[in-house]
Amino acid sequence: MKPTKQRTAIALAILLATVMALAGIPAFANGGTESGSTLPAMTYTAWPRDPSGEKYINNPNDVVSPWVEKKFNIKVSDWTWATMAIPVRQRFAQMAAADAVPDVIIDGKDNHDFEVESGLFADLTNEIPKMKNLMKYFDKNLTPYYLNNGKQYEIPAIELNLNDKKYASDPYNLGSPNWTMWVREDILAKAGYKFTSTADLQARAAATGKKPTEADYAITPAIDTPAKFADLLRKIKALNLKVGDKPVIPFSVSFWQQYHVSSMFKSPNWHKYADGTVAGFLGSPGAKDFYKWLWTANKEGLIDPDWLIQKEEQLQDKAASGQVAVGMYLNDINAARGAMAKVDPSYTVRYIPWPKVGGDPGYFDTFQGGFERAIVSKKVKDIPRLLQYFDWFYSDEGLDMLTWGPKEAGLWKMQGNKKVFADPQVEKDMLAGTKGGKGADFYGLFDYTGTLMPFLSRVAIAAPRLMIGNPVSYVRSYPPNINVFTYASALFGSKAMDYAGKSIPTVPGDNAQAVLAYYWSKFTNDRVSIILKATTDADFNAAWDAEMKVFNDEGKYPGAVADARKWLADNGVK
Amino acid sequence: MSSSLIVPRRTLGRRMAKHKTLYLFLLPAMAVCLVFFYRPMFGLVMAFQDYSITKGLAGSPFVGLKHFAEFLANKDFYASLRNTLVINGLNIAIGFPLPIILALSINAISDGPFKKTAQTISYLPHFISWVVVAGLMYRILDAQSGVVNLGLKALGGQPVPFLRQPQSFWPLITIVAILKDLGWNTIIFLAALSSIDVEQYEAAIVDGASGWQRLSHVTLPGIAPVIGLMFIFTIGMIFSANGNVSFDAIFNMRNALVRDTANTIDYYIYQEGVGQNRMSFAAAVGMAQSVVSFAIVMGANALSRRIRGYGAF
Repeated sequence: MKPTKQRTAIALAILLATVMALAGIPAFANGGTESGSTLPAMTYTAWPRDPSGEKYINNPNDVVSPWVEKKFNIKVSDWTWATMAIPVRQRFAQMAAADAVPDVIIDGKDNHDFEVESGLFADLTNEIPKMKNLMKYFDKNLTPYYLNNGKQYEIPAIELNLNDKKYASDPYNLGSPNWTMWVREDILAKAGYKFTSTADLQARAAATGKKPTEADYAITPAIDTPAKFADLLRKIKALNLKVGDKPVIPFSVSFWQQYHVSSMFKSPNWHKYADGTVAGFLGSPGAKDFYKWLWTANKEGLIDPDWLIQKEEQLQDKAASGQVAVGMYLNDINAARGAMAKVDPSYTVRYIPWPKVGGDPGYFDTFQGGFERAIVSKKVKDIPRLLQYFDWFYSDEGLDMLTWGPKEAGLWKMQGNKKVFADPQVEKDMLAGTKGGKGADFYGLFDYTGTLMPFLSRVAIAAPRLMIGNPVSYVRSYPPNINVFTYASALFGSKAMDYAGKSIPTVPGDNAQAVLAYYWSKFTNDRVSIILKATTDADFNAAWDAEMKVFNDEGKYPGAVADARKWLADNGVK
Repeated sequence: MSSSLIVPRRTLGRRMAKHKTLYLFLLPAMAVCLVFFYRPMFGLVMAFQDYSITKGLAGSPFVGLKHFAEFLANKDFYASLRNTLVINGLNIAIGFPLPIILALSINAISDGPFKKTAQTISYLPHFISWVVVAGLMYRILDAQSGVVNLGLKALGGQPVPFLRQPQSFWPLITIVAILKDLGWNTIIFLAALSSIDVEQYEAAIVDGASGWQRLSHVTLPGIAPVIGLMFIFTIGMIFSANGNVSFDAIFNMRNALVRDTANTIDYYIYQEGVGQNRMSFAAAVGMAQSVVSFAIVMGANALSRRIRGYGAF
């Protein structure tokens, strides 16, 4: 090579190496923006529970995150996202083996119990009480739900109990939304049921300014037991309805929803019954009855034949096309409703109360003051700083910022002593919870319709934050809008939620962890099919007995009962 | 015919020095083997422990053959063993000769753009991920909206829920796996075909051999060593997921409704060991699988040496 070319090549190589080295330095990689904080830049890796957050983390229109990142000089450097296809425990075990566990994991107690037992996470018992803003919202009576062996590793993502009577007089309070089953009203009517439609209830609420009562939502005949619910499904099937050339499916869920639907028959959670029995999961007194019901529904074609194998997106698509008559959880029920209305305006949806067997209420879930919580790796260098950053999300300034965005974004203006949205389109989309427009998802703001992901900025997705009960929600700047559809989920769901602390979905202990691992990683997405393919009652009973044997052996259920009994006793459940 | 010329055998050191450049080429491959295949073998001790991530290999308690006894007493293991043997057996029985036949067909085409195009198109499915293939199959075979069932309905038949019935899984996975890698698997046979001396064909033609005679007396004997070699490697995979039907294939194509015929040993390892965080159990099953596969490869090689006079090693 000629000397000139050689020198040029060497110079280019040095330049390339320098650029690559500088790209590895966060300040340069991120544009080297100046920080509002005098503290050095801090980064952490995050694993949020809800994978639907992934679409918001690179939102170029997010007005909240750049402001917050600049204020605190703290950023998320890498993200991990869960999928239903890989159990969390498996993913966590792989990361632990590779010494690649994220700094902050936001998840439910069941997975955190397992993760905390690895010894990789910091005991925050002394740090969390210093989070003054969080402690304003935290109900200390619920502390046992956040402890592992008497220590607190978990920072709550708090859900206020909006069903508490202290909020009853708040005209903006529509209760804590909960899961309950929904049904297409047009199909309900065709099946011979009488009720006041959601549209009529909405008109009445708008005219009177009053929330509907349970009696207003009543359906005749009532669908208040599992047997009557099955009758509803049979009637729907008999209608032989189609959407295009595809048959309407009476009932469709995804595999994990069987846990909640089983609450029609006693509680799937660990629960102490009136006779002193402690039981949960497949050992619950109602479990066999539920799976018999499910087997019957499967045999009669009342439930989607693909319910066990379909992905959440497939269920969402089916529901959005109007193909599902009755369902429970959807990734986005409001998007599905909107899509159904476009297919046919008569495809409206209403929530119905949980059908129940008599006796024990059968909680579909336990109110823990928050399902999600965050744990912090011991490897994080400045844990107090990180916790103070998380605490800010609960502060008045933090909630205001996450809800409205910064002033300089120009999204809001003052009208009297209230903030309102400056742009009519933004205002319309925010108040309607519209996605894909100029609403919360566009700007990374608060979505008041988002029960599992209310704050859509990446900084909020990577932090424990207030999940339900935002006191500075923008709806408070406008006349109260009683959304009778959403209100029904709070009204009916709260009846089936344990607020009294008599049950818990998971307790610490190796045996209890074995039950969880068996139930979620093996039974609900695989072995349940063994029971479902039984052809006769005798086959079903034999399959159930065989499955219970495996559950007792591999799932270590008897030992787990002892773990649960101890936890319930230690935490005051008589 | 013996030669009167005696060639002294050089020592290894001298051979390496003489061919040092060639040995240097070997170094990266050897490094990869050592790091990614041999070094992890120390982890096999996990199969004899109750391994805990936090305690590590050094701190986890030794339990001897407990995990081996456990899986040998587990009827799900035998179901997965049956499924593995059937699925891999079908793939070997059908999927082994097909690439040879395709290679012979491609080889018979005159060189030109058509031949190149045909070859390229046949290779392409190999590069499509099993995630995509499984997604496509789920769409194509959907009971309501899949083209196959729409075609069946158009012909007056009833839709078949291929993806929900266990009896469909074996043929389905066999057909999809073979088609996906059919073209790719022809490569080695095409290479072997191209190494046959053309003078043999010319001599055969001069002797009046027909096409079939040239095939049976020149072509097939010419590639027999490669066929034998590939067969030895293939038969060694009958217990594992390294052939056409990889773990990827099973993981993406199976679902709970076809578990009776879809759960293979590799999926069993994944579900029992990894899914439930029982690393030692997974290691025990995996180790047993590897030992059996190794024994089969060695046996097949020995048999080949005895019958044909040559083997893979």
